[in-house]
Amino acid sequence: MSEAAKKKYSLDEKNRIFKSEFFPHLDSMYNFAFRLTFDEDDAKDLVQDTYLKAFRFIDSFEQGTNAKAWLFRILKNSFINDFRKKSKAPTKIDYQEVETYYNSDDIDEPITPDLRVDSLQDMIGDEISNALNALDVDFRTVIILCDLEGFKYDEMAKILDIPIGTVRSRLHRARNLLKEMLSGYAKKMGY
Amino acid sequence: MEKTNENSNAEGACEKQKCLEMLQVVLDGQADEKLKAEFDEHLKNCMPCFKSYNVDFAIKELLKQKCCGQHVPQDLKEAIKSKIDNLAV
Ligand SMILES: [Zn+2]
Repeated sequence: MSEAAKKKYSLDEKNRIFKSEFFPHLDSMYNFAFRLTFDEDDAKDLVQDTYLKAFRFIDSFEQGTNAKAWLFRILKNSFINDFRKKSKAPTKIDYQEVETYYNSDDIDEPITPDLRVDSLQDMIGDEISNALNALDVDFRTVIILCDLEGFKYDEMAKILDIPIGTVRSRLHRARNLLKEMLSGYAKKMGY
Repeated sequence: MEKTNENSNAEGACEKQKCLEMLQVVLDGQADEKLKAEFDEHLKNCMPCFKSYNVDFAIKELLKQKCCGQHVPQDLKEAIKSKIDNLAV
């Protein structure tokens, strides 16, 4: 590696950057890792790996740029490279429809006219969380980055290494899938 | 990207593709003032978009409320700290 080639920061600076810019994102990082792996130990490993890598490659971090986005990118890459194959599948839940929607051409069709705000607000937390977890990992990821973590489209594009247009269309599809699941749930509950 | 569908709503005020894109950008807080104003104006005349926006907004809020707020386990926090301290010598 060219680690030694361009040593930008002194040890003190490294420690300071780590504490002030990286460490504050631990909770978000853990939440992301957990929602990717669905396993506490895997999530811990993933977060720890990410932080160790971040420290090791800290010279490639530009101060003043978005540390959180930088960390999320490392975590996402670690997940793909090291964890994706062995990560546990989400526990099977009630949303059988998901598979059919993946294979369906009219994935963008419905705006689920029957889903209402008041029925959504009556739902307790587990339904929305389960629905999110039931999404395929690529769809789940864009929802996490955008809606949970508040990343902008251009930041998401960098984290995921995909064009902004793809970020937006994937987000749109993810939301439609989420709405389908919530709508199915609302119907079942008689809203 | 999404395929363009003929607008099927009765109001006829809505070009679906353009609306959906606008809705998303506004929903995610990434629209400039001009686009926001345009969308607000559109919502006054387009019931499907108005409903969609409210549902999407409610889901976004619900996600934020219910799916965040997880705290990193204390032992992990300590483990990372000590590992870094060991590296940083
Ligand atoms: Zn419209």
